[in-house]
Amino acid sequence: MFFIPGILITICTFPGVIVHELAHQLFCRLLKVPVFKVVYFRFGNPAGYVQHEIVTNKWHQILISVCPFFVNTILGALIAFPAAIPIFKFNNGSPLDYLLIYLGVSIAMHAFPSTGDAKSILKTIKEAETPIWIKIVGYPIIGLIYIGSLGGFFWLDLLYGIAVAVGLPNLLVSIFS
Amino acid sequence: MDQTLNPEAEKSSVCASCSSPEVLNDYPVKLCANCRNHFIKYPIPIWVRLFGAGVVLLMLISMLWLPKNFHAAIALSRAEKAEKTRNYITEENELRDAIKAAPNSLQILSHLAIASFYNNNFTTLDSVLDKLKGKNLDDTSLVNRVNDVIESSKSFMPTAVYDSSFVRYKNKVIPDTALIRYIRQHSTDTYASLILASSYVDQEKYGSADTILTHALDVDPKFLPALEIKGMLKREINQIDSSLYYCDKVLAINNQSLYALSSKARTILKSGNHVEGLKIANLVFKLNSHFQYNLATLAIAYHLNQDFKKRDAILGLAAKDSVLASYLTYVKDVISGKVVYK
Repeated sequence: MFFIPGILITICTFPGVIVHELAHQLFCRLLKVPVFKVVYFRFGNPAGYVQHEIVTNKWHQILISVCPFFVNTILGALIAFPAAIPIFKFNNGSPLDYLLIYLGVSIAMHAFPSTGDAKSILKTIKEAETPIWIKIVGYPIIGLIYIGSLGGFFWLDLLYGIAVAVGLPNLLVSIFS
Repeated sequence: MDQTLNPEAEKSSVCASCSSPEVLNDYPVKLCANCRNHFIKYPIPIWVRLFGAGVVLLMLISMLWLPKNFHAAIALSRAEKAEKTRNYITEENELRDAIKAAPNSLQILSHLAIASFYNNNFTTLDSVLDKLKGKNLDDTSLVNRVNDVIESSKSFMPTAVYDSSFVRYKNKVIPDTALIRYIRQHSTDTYASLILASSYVDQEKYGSADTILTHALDVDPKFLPALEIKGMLKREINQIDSSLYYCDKVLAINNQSLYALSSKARTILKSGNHVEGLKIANLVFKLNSHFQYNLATLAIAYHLNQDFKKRDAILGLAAKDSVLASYLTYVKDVISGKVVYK
C-alpha cells in the first residue's frame, strides 16, 4: 500500500471542486446573500472556497452550506449513470463513457461539505435565538460533515463518488429488473 | 476574483464598498443597495461559465442516453436472472431487447450465445460466435459457459471423420447398415447415433431407436436431442412414466424447452389427463405461437377436450404453412382414429 497525497486526488478531480464552489455561489445568489470572494480552484488547502456575508437566516445558512452535497451528488449521478451501464454492464464502454464516469465520480466525490461549512453552521445554530427545530436538523448535519471529513482520510469521499456514479446505477438496475 | 471591502468603512456608517452614505442597515455588512445587488450577483468568470456549460451539456447528453441504456441494462439483468433459472426463451427475448441498445456488447452477445444454443437457434448462435471470435471477456464464468455451449454444439454437427466416411452418400440417405458399421468404429460419435436413431424412429423401429439413444446418452448424458427423442418414443411405446422422465430431464436442463414441454403435453394427453395436457400446450403457445410441433399438440389437445372450433382453426393454418401441414397430418390421423391417442 502506498500513500497518495490528498492534494493530488483533489487536483485530479478538480471539476468536482469547481462545481462545489459554484453551487455555494449560486445558492448565495438565490438566497440574496452578497458574495465577496470566490476561489473555484487552487493548488492548496482548501482547494476552493466562497466568502460571503454572514447569513442571518439560520435556515439559509444551512442551505448554503449543504447545497453542494445535493448539487454534486445529483449532477455526478446524472452524468455517470448512462455511462456506467455500457462500462460495467455491457462491457463495451466508449472513451466518452469513461470521460463521463471520471466526471461523475469527480463531481460526486466533492459533494461533502467542508469542515469550514460545518463551522459556519455551528456558529449559526449555537446562537441562543436559533429555533430548536433548526438545531435538531443542524447538529446531525454538522456531525455527518465531520464524519465525512474524517472519512476523507480513508478515501470515503472517493468511495462516495464511486458509489454514486457506479453503485447507484447498478442498484437501480437490480431494483427495476 | 477578489473584491475586498474597505475595513474602515465597515466600522463607519458608509457603504463598505463605495463609501456611499446610503447604506442598508438591516444586514451584517454595511452596503448601499447598488453594491449589495452587485455582490449578490457576484460575477462568475467566463471560464467557469464555459466549464459549467460543458458540464450541463454532458449532463444533457447523458440524460438523452439514459432511457435507452437503462432499459437495455434492465433487459440484460432480467436475461441473466432467466439464465440462472434456465428459462432460455425469456432470456433470448430480453437479450434481443438489450442488444438494440448495445449491439457490440460482449456481455450481451455471450449470453445470447448460451440462450440461442438452448433454444436450438443455431443461426443466431453461429452469427454471435463470429462476433465473439478473438474478443476478450473478463467474466471467466461467462466465458466458461460459452465454451461449454460451443463444445456441446459440436455434438449437433457431423464431425470431419463422419463427413469423410459418408462422402459417397452425398445428397443420398445413408443406409442404416453403414451407420451401424460407423458407430461400431466410432462409438463416441453421438451425432451418428442420433442420425441412426432418427432413421429407426421414421421406420417406427422404436426399440432399436431406444437402444442406440441409450448408447448416445452413455457417451453424453446431457445430449439434448437424444433425451428429446427418448421422451417421444417412450410415449409411442406407451411407457408414459418413462416418457415423462425424459421430458423432465430435458426440462431440468432447459426449463423452457418448447419441444420437451410440448412432448410432455402429448404424453399427459395420452395418459388421459386432457385438461392438464391442454394447459401445457397453451403454455408453450404463449412462449412461441409459431412453433409448428406445438400447434399440432394444441390441435390434438383441443380435439381431446372437444373444443372443435379451436382445433379446426389450427387445422386451417396448414394451407399457409407446409411444415405445419406435415405435423397436422398426424393430428388428422388422431382425429380420424387412425392413431389411437390413449
